[in-house]
Amino acid sequence: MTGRHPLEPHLNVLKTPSQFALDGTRILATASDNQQTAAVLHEINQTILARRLEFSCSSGRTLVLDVVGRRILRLVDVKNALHNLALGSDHTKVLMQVIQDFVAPKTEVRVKTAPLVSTDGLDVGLHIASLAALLMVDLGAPVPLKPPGVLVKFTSLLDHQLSAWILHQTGASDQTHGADDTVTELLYLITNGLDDLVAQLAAVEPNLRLPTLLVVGAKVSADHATLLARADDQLLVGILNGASAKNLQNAWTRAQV
Amino acid sequence: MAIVDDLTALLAATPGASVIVFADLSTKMVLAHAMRVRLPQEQLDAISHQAVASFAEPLAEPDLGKVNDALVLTSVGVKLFIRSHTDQSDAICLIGDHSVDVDKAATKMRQLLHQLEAQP
Repeated sequence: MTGRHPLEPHLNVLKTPSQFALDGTRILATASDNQQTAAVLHEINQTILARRLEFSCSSGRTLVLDVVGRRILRLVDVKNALHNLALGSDHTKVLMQVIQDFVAPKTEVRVKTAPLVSTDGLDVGLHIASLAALLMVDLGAPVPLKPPGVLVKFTSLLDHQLSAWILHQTGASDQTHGADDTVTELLYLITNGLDDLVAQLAAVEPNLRLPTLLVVGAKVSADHATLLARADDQLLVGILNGASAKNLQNAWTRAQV
Repeated sequence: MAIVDDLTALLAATPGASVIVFADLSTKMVLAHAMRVRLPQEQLDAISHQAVASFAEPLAEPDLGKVNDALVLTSVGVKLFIRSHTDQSDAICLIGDHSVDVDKAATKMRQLLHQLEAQP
């Protein structure tokens, strides 16, 4: 489960969109990106101080590396013979294979970093540049996270007027925000009725390419209205709390820009 | 005053609206309409179908509260469906662009529904 990190609005203003998860991990690539390998290598390349990088993939795979000064010192969590393997220049092909095994296309990749307590007993390590050359990744080229999509922008613009929401995308973990009981209610709706929700939106707006928002309630601008939206390949379900229709319209049109 | 006149007056008083219809949601039929641009019958019928879909489950689940209003926003415009509190098959539906003041339009549409229900 992920949610909005307090820094996220500031990063968006600075045109450096990043996504954080509530568990402290940072999302390097989303399921709709196709640069998962490059994202992992860039993260290593940008690590100057001694750090343990714990990469995780939405497919369930993990990769833990000890890194310092753009060099990979140790493979930490790979099983059997590679467990805790101190790396040197001889291990380029081994590590290339490990990274290729870890990264799967159309998956979300996250990283968690922690200071590296000790580098005792480790060799000089494997320089990231040699690995990047083998994997044909240009470390000079930026690998920006895709800018936030329509629905992410929409939730940011509505802010506290959306008391709870779930952003669902196939192949990625759901992003959630709000009180646990309401989120649970919305999760139930997504888990048990995803196809029906998609079909309901398709019936309301048959042009499937159009980003579409449906809000239902006792009154559109009532204290408690429910919303459902689609855009790109994402689906948003949420509970509105006192948003006027004008605010909804403004947020929706601004989110498309 | 005939219902068509009421709908025409409402359309004239709602900048950005292009079509306003009175529909019977139980039969999915448009009973009366007013429009700035002429729509073929199948598009009019589609409005009532979309209204029915808006008020349907799973989104309008009874546990999530009573639902009488539905608003649809796309990148090209606005659809607003207001259902009667007393007879849930009666609804007024509006199609327009983003310049429609939805809050004001919803209030007027609700008033018209009350007015229609009060008629003998």
